Amino acid sequence: MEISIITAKTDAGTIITLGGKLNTVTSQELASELERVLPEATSLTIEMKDLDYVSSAGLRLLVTAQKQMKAKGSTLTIKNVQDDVLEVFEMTGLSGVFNITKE
Amino acid sequence: MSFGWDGVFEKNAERVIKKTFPADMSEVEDVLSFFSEVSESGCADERVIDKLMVIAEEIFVNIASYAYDGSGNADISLLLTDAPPCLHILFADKGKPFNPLLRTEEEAAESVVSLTPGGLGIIMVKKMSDKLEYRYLDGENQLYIAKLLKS
Repeated sequence: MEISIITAKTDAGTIITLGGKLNTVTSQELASELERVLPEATSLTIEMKDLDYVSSAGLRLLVTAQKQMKAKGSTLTIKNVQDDVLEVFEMTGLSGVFNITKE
Repeated sequence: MSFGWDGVFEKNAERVIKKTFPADMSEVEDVLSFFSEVSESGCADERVIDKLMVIAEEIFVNIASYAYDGSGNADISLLLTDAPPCLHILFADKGKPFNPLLRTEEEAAESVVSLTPGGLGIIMVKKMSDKLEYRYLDGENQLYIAKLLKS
């Protein structure tokens, strides 16, 4: 199962760019990266233009990250979601939970 | 067994591809490979294959997480049919009786808050499938799913 995770620190905050598939198998890799990045991130953007699909395991991970960021007064933004992935956010009622933006 | 979309598995028994997997989270990748190989051989659209992968993962994870107190198996039968091109899926396990289709959207929303597996995935399966049926027969949970291969 393939996923690519690229993290960059910019003046605007931390950006994690995801590509491939976020599922039960690959979400463990993202969980490790979030564990590393979240403690120091004041603003986190997750770029999803190359993410093809997300399962509920990935959604739970994103919800966890959102809660952790919110608890410390920081922001999490999800950016450039593909239509099929956006459909998943909408069908699960999570599109209103996250700040989802498009460039 | 007379079950499925108008008994489709019985009518096409010689074309059914069946595999048994230990109901364990470590098997998820093999389950997804099994679905991927069969759906690609049916010339499914890439978007449809992505949805099939989600369906396969969510149902298998549900069985692996909740069906058994100890160890057990999940039998997966796949059948490709034409007119219209469709993948018929049958998940069977001998775990605790559980009809996932009775899970409500409120329970799914609760599972997001509590971060437990199950609820969200079932909502996704319901919305991504073209046909869903459940029955408990001869000590076996049987979940039938049909997915059209062209979006």
